[in-house]
Amino acid sequence: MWYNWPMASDQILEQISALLASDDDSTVNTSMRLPAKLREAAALATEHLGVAPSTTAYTAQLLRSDIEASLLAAVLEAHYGDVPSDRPSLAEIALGVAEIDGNPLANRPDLITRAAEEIVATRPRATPDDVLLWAEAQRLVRS
Amino acid sequence: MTVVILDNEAVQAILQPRHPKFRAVASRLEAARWRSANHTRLTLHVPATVQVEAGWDRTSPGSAQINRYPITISALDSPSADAAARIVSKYSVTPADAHVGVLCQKLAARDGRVIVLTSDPDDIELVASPTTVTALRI
Repeated sequence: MWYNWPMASDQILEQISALLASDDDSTVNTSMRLPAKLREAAALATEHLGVAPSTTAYTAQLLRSDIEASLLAAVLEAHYGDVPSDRPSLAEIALGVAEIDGNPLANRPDLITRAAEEIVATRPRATPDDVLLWAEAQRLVRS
Repeated sequence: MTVVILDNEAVQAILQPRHPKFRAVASRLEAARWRSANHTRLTLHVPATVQVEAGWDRTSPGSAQINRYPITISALDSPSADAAARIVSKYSVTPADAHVGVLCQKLAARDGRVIVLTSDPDDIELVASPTTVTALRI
């Protein structure tokens, strides 16, 4: 599946989550080395594209959102490891994507389920968008 | 940036072991992850009043699982409390629902797309109005 994630220990996940949730705003200087051109691009994006108040804020914001996303994926994966029956199917995720998009296919879970079954038979690593595309094609063919 | 707000029942589904709606919550979280750009611009929020309503005590051993999620607890500051009080008065909803509504309005203005996982999408659309949110039934 496209969303498989490496396993981390519960203790590590708890530690990361606690650090992200902490109210401690103290800062630390780092010796992080960035590619010079990337640093320059970030400075320009900060100044001219209004992406963040400063390059430092921009870096911190992106780092936080990336860690949060990775943590969410890892926590879900750990849960599926404990309770395999809680792992949503590709069809269920595709249905969720259709709901988020306001796609009329959200009202046709039967079509999405069938499309997921058909597409996985030939493409085991199919994505939710692959399923929706195939479901839409099937809907047009049958209408 | 995509923001997902968890309503009371979505929090319950994560908080309680073997909750029948966990899979419905997980499928929507996976869908939101898929739809957010590069799977990286997604944040989860729970209004503090929803945390209270759901009985989620972060210091309780029973909260170990949900505490691992990268969830931001959104406090109710004074202007938000006033706005929530107006929503309670106007629509006769619970304080937690009103807080969800205020948070929807605030985060939609800042981050763009807001998704709410809820057992009652109609109520959420009501309390969030005039802001448009995607309320997904779990």
